[in-house]
Amino acid sequence: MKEKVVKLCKCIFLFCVLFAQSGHAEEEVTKERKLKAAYVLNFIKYMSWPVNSGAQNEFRLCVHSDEPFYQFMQALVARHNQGANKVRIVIGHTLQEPLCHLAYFQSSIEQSLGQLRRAVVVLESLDVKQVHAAIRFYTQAQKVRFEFDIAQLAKIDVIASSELLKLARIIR
Amino acid sequence: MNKLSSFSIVMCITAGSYSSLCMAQSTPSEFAELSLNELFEMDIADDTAKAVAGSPWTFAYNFKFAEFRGYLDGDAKRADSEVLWQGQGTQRSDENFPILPTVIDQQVHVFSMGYRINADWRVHASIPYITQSTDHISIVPDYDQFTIDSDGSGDAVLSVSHRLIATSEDIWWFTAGVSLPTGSIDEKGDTPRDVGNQQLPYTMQLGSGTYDFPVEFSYQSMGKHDFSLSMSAMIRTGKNDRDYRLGNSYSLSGTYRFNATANIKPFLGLAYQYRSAIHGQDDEITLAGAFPYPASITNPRLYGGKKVSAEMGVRWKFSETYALSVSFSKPIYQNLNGPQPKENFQSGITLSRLM
Repeated sequence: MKEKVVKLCKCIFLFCVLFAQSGHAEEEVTKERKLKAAYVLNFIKYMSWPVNSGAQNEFRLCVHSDEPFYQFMQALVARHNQGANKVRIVIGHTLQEPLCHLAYFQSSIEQSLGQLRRAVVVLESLDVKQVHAAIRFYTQAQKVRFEFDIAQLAKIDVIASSELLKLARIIR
Repeated sequence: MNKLSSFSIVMCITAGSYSSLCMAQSTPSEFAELSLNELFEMDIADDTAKAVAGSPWTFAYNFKFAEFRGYLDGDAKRADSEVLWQGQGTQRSDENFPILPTVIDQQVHVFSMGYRINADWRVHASIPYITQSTDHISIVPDYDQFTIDSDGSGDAVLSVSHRLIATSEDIWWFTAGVSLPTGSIDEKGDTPRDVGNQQLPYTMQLGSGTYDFPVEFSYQSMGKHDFSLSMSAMIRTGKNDRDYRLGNSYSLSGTYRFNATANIKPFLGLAYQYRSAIHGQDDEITLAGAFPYPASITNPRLYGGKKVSAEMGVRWKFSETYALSVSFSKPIYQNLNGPQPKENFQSGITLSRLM
């Protein structure tokens, strides 16, 4: 029996070492990007979309990013949907979704996309160039900040609450 | 029961770790619950969340206690006095025996660990340590009441989980593994069969003695309601050195978790399990003559059956990386190949380190 246990321990150790070496560690999302993801959830809470947009029933959040960020955003959305929030959010990849109420871009997409026609476009940083962008993240003094293009929001009839606007840098 | 239990525990830990990664009680949920003003004040360099950023390793310890008491033949109860053969002058049959186990207690300590290779692949290893005892009554002189014990490590399970589908609505995992015959099938004790120690019946052995293959499909809802479903099986192969193979088992289970608070989740579950009888026979525990089985638990045909169990419990995430779960389950329907000792209840406690 003792021999069996020793043999087993060796097997488990070898098994773990092999997998630890062959499997690459999962790429982590930086805290800065996690904060931006959390901001996106708050944007949805503190902004109002037109009644005929359907956002009140099922909010379509589109994300164009690397997979770790997408998965983190997906986990946030799952948590949001399990809470007592009125708005149910459905997350999808921007290029695959037929409709977006809010679209987050880590990098730009050059082609014109019909699903973004009435979307609030949020850019991960000032370096990302995307047409019709309404919100851009930037960092200042080690904190995540964002700027709002009020004119762009007005074009798509989306209203940001005063609580949100007072934290934003406003571009008119 | 040992091997399916330990595999199930690993699966629960996997699901639990993942659900906590994705939902109420881990890094994403912390960020999901931050208010606008809290976000505004947070420093990107102040990486307080680093500790919970997600180690790829999980560790868990599970303690499970099960008690078997009373007899069922099909779904009909049999009194101990019916199953115990009363000796000369009364009729002996295939359904009564000179030795009768009255209470079987089983304690299983499962140590397991998991490693997340990436978002879609995980590996797990677990090993149980089993302590069990059976109280008996018999008509054999000097053995009118006696207890047999056995303890030691059980069968180790290595498994791999692959995430098949992941959307904002649900997640599907497939897990397959191998159960290694590391548990003893040569446990001995003093029985009325002879003087000194003899080979013990199947229930008192610690392993299966065969290479077995656990598989599971599991579903985790990511919608408003937090529930999971799973279909699992333990497929056993070949025959062990004692010329028998434990029965395959198949189960379907569902668990619904309630959002009591951010860190405490009570849950309710329902499980159906089918297990087939033992194939083959250990001839060392039988007797010569017309009635070869001195106790029901020495007859390989009197194993297996169907069982529906209800479960309740609570999971408490008491720190950033650790959770404690306590559960209690009781069969609400059993239809056994009997006469066979019936399960009375199971309870468990699990301490796990989350991914």
